[in-house]
Amino acid sequence: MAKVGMQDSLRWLDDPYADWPERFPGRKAIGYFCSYVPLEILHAAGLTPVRILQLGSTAAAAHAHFPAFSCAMARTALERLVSSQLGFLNAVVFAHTCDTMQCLADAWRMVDSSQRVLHFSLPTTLDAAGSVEYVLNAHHQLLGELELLSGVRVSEEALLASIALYEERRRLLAELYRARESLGAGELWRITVAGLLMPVEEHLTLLGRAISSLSDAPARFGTGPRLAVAGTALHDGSLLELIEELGGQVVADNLCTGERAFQGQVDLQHHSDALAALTARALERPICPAKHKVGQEAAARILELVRSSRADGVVFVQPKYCDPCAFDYVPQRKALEEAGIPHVVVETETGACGAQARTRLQALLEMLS
Amino acid sequence: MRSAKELQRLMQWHYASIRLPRLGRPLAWVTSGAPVELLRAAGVVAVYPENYGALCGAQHQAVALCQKAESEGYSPDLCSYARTSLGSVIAPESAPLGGLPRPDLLIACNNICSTVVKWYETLSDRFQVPLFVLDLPFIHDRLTPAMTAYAVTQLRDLVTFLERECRRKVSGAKLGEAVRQANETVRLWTEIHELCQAHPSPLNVPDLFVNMAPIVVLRGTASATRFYRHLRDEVAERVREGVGAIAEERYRLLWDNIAIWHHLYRLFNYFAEQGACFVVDTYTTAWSAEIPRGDLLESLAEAYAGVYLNRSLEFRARRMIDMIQAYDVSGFVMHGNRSCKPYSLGQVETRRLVTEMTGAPGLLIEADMCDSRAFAPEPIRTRIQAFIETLESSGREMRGEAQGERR
Repeated sequence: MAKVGMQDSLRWLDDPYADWPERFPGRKAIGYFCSYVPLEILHAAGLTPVRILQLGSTAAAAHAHFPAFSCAMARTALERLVSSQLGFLNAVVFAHTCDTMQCLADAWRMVDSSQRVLHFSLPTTLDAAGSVEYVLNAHHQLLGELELLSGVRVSEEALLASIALYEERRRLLAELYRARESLGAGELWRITVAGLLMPVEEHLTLLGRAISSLSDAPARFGTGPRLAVAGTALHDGSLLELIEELGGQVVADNLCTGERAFQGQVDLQHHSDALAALTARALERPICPAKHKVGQEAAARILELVRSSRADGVVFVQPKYCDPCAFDYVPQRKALEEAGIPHVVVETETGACGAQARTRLQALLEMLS
Repeated sequence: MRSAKELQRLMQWHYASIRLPRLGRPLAWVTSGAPVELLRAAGVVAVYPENYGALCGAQHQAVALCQKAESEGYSPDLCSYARTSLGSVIAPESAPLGGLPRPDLLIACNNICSTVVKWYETLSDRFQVPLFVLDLPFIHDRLTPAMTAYAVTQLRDLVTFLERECRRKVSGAKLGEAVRQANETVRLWTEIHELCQAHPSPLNVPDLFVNMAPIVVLRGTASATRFYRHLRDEVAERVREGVGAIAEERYRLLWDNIAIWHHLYRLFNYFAEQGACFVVDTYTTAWSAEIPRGDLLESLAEAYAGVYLNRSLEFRARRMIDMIQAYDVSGFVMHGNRSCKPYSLGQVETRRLVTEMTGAPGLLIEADMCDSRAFAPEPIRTRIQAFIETLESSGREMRGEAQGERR
């Protein structure tokens, strides 16, 4: 397998928040949770977006603030807030997604009123009548609040410059994902997630390095069963590494810590300005399970993922207590069964996978071998 | 209560009437927070899977139906109304009333939760019938003009959808009449709640839970208005005569969240035995928003976006604080409802704030509205006992003279 050697330099991902200010000195950080948050606007306002993930936390017991029947991502985030690990963030942006994130946004400001909370009020129905105007307004609203927060007046030029950086990142990531079969899924996950936590400029350098070392390395085309990974956020790359260790190849995913995070382009040619173009990307991207859109129903989404990647099987990564994923699973499983595509479910709570995941993946891969 | 028979007749009539020939009127499954007035004006027959779920829960039929849904792959961690409903679709032969009649349309409004969107997507897929999702933005701070405009645009689209599906115009006169009836019902329901400010309270929360069915499923109809007029009169009479809901009202409490339907009377009777009466709650009062005067669609947008569960945790804490003051409440009990994340996540924070602001202690018990497998009776009884002792030791018992003064 072509190794680009990022594992050592990205070891900080094991606990990315502890020394973030020292790692990226001089940067003003702003937290966010959801891949729908328009990072370009945050960047144009002079802020460095830092995604709040479950990385390095196994706070399965942390339910002093949220009950045990809420997802670990929300519980661990609150735990980090309470223990002052996120004090370096100038604010946190919540995009409206699921019931849990909706409550988390409110609880956040009740637990620690010193940290600013900004709401990016994204609709649930992305093709509702009036959704374009509403989402455009949400972008304007967020921009206004960021200007107040940072004290920076954001010009159209600044927005366009930021969009150019993020478009470049999407282009490089797409290039890297095209080579995913020779790169290794765990490595790719690390490189992608690092980008959600570090300044985009530095991530571009990292991506450039990864791509050039890839072209120097001997290509290796996998021969094992081709698997697609379906879910939302994957907080640990070990599951992907396990698939490869057991002889499978990860050929596609629809994770918001993976391919879905950078799908969709900002089309400046066909829109009047930067915010209108960002709005169009938000509405036209492949959707998160918490969103509703005609033509992107659960079954259609999984069949498209399999079709476009020519996957032999599917691994569902289900975060415990994630309602949108749990609802989608039933029609998706049915659609796969009708199409004769084998699949397994791996339920995650801490992100890392245990013995049960290994057994299930082994069974799937044996079936496909 | 006298009106108990009337309530029973009304609900029996409702569940029977939805099975009658409808002469071309489509039947819609509707979420409890959807603007039903538009559906009434369009001639749609509205039925409520959430109410059906509560009915199954109260009749101890929900677990078996949840298991049917789970056997098809639905997680036991999903909402038990949704699982009950899906179970009744999978196995109508084992469901009370044989399940609900097959829908022609589905109308889901996410002002109560996001679960309804996923649940109704599933129903749409199963029945292969059209689904309209009314997407009302959550109000973290205030209802903005952009939110109202988005809601109004969708309401217009809903009218178009209904006119297409019903093959008839939505009549302005009928809409006006449905809104007038709904407002009248809401005023009566609010009046009934306010009568519970009396000492002793004429009603305990299980009475409110049982009597809320018509405001959910028959809002906007003359029969609901008539029922609540009779109920209001009966409750007012109890207040005049000093009749309390429980034998001896020593503690006046507030209930937060949906009822634990499968233990409704057992749970509240246990409180009542110790002199604790729930004089107000955050759930049955959620149907208390009148549709303001003015442009009808704008008014509907404001009323339905502003419902209790579509508002922030701070808003809810403030509402609870106001209730505690208005109803002279000395403590509160929160149901951490595994089935309802938007209601239950954040209760630790609201409890802290409410106690800080009022001094009233709060008890948080984890259970589930329909799934009795998530209910541990003995530990809950122990915690209730300890809570009552806290109220007693902190001198939060009602004073006799206060009872006399306020009667």
